[in-house]
Amino acid sequence: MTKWTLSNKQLFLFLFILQTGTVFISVQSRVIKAAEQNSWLIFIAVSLFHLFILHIFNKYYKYFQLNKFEKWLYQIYWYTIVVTFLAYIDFILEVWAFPQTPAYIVISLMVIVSLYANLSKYAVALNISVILIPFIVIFLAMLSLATKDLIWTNLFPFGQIDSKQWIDGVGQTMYAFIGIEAFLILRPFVEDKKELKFRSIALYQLILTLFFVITILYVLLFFSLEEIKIIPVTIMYLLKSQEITFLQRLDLFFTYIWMTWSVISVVLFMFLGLSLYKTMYTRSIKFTVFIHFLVSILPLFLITRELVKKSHDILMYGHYFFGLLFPLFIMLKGWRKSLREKKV
Amino acid sequence: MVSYKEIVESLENEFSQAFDFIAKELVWNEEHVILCYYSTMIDTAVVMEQLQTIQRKFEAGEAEYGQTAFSEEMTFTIKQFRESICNGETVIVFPKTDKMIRILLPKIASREPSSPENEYVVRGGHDGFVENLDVNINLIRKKLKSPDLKIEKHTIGAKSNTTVSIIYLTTKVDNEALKVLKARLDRIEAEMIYSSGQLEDYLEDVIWSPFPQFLNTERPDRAVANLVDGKIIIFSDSDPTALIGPITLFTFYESPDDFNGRVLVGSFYRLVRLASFFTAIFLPAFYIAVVSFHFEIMPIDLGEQVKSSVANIPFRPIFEALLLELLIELIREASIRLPSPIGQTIGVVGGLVIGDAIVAAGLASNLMVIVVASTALASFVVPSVEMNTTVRLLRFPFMVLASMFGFFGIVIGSMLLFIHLLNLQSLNRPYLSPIIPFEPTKIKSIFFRLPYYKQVPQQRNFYLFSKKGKKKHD
Repeated sequence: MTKWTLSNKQLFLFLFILQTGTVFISVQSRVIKAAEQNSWLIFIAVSLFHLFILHIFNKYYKYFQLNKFEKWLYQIYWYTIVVTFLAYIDFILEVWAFPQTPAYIVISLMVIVSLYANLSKYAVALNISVILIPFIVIFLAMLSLATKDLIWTNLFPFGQIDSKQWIDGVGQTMYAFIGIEAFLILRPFVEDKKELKFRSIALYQLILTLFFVITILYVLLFFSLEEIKIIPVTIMYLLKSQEITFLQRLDLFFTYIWMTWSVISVVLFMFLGLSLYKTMYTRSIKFTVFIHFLVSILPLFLITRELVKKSHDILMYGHYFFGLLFPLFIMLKGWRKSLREKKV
Repeated sequence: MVSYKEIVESLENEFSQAFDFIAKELVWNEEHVILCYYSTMIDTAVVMEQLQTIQRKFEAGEAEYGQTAFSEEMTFTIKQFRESICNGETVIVFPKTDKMIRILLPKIASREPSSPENEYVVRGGHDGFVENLDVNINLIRKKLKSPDLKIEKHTIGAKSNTTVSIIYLTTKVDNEALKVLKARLDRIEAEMIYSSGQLEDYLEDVIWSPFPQFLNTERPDRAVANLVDGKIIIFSDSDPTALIGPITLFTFYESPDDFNGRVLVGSFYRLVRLASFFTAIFLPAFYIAVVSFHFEIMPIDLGEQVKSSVANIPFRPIFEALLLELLIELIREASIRLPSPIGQTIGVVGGLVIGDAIVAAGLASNLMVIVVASTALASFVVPSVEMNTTVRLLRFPFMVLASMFGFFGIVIGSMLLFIHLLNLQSLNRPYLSPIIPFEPTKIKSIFFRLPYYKQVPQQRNFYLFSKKGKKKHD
């Protein structure tokens, strides 16, 4: 196994960028469309569920032992996420930033960043997220410019959640937690395999939840429900409506912040896939180049509004399986195996 | 044993073409001895005095007649003989007993320590390193009166026999980095080492990186501050530049002025310098991206002004920018090569007259002149010549990317640059520390000049930075 370690802070920053990455501009519309004024409540409920899942992962991660087939399954899942994300990023950039530039150029340039990072030493992928820390602050500052335009009555009525809202809301909220299984992959590498306290996990989940809930609330209070139904990327429109003295298009700046964020999440997903590959075979430059070439070609077949939407919907089901059920199943299998070994 | 004939042959072969080489046969107590030296590299009076002392002891029949405070007795070898003569020592050869005595008093030409021209400070010492290793060590010892100060000498270069000294504080030094440095010094296989720049090529972690991995300084106060920080100083003889490592990117943005001035003032200028890093690299690229792709980003009034300014320019913004940037580089090169009064005149002529004429001729817009001039100013703010040239070089690829892809190109370029910086190391130590690995508690020392010079050891690897890790390294 490759020799590298990471600290708690690195683990949680890695997870935060992985989970927020590409999805943080679209999750608000999805959740609000499904659960309306109750969206933020449902988000908190789903977040609590994922906190429980993280706690389980943390407690039993030692039993998460993947065989070769399972490792390939996870790799395929992560590379599929990357392909879907790249298609989505290009779709958004085409709409908001530069409609003239061919998709293959935009995607190739983004993939080159990932290729360079993944051909570099492990420390690069583990630390690259640090560049986004100031961007998180800038994004929240940009968002806060809309505070004066918020209509607080848009929040009401809330609390009465019917079953349809629960089912749809929970389904759409899952979208924000794609990549949670990375915790299990990275956890064994946390420095000296030391104990990770529940308090640390809860704090991480609180920060992640606050980040999403704040954006959901801003969108909910800024637009009416009818507007949200017809606006696909509400955060973008919210920022486009802001005027500051020296900038006419705040959204354009945000687009590039989001793009950086997304490309880094692509780097992280590729890192996860390649690090699993390296556990089966040795580190291979040829395979790293090949898989990057593949993920730069495949998104070109997905860049239409319908396909982008469909592929994102499918990702949620992927999360149900690879993020929740499959890890629990593998840990259970590992636990039983260890029991058998103890008896022997 | 080497015969008298062999010695004479060796002298004839190797030194007969040097007019300043002197070889004289003397007779001391009926024994023939040969006195050799370069007349241009000794102080005759001082050497004569030493010679007389040795002769007196020899004639008195003392056992260790060659051992004095400034001389050394040893077995004769052609190799050592050659080296000593080339180092400016005076050698007395005793063919009968196969011995030689080296009088270790070479006279090396050196100027007086004066303020380095490329590292001016407002307050603080105005002495600087010179082309003499002894003087440089003297300047360091003057400021750092500590017995911990260790100086190791290595001889490198088969032909040049260059003395390279590594200086460090035994109680502070990063031992792993020291080991790496020594190993790299031992690996050098070169005929000639004649400058610190050449030495830097052999010692750097990534030679093709645009970023310097050693801090160059001619200031003793800067060198001493780094020694106290646990860094290692490398001197090559006859070069006034001290190479300091391991360093981080942020070391280049620290100036001795920060610590000589007031806390708030020092912190303010540190921030200005750090902002200049981004301005110098990104400003022209940003302007090109806005003018070429993203006009709509500007408020309408400003946008109209910019449009009217660039409307009649016959070139694309990238060519306009390249024209002005190259002009600035020409002015800079010209002003460096010329004596300072003429250099200043060139600056004025280039900056004002040509700049104004270019705008009047409609070859570049007013705004582009402002952008390029601001960029040049920002790049000169860096208190390190190496980083200054790096920053100036880096803006060109960003300008090209901005002209091809707008902000997208700048973002992609920035990410590639960031990954490169993440990969970079100085003597195997992270170059972006304390940003990478992320150590929030140490970050304030990058941006602010703290009220006292607190020594924070540089992070020594990419992975371990828990409390346990810190303790282990501290």
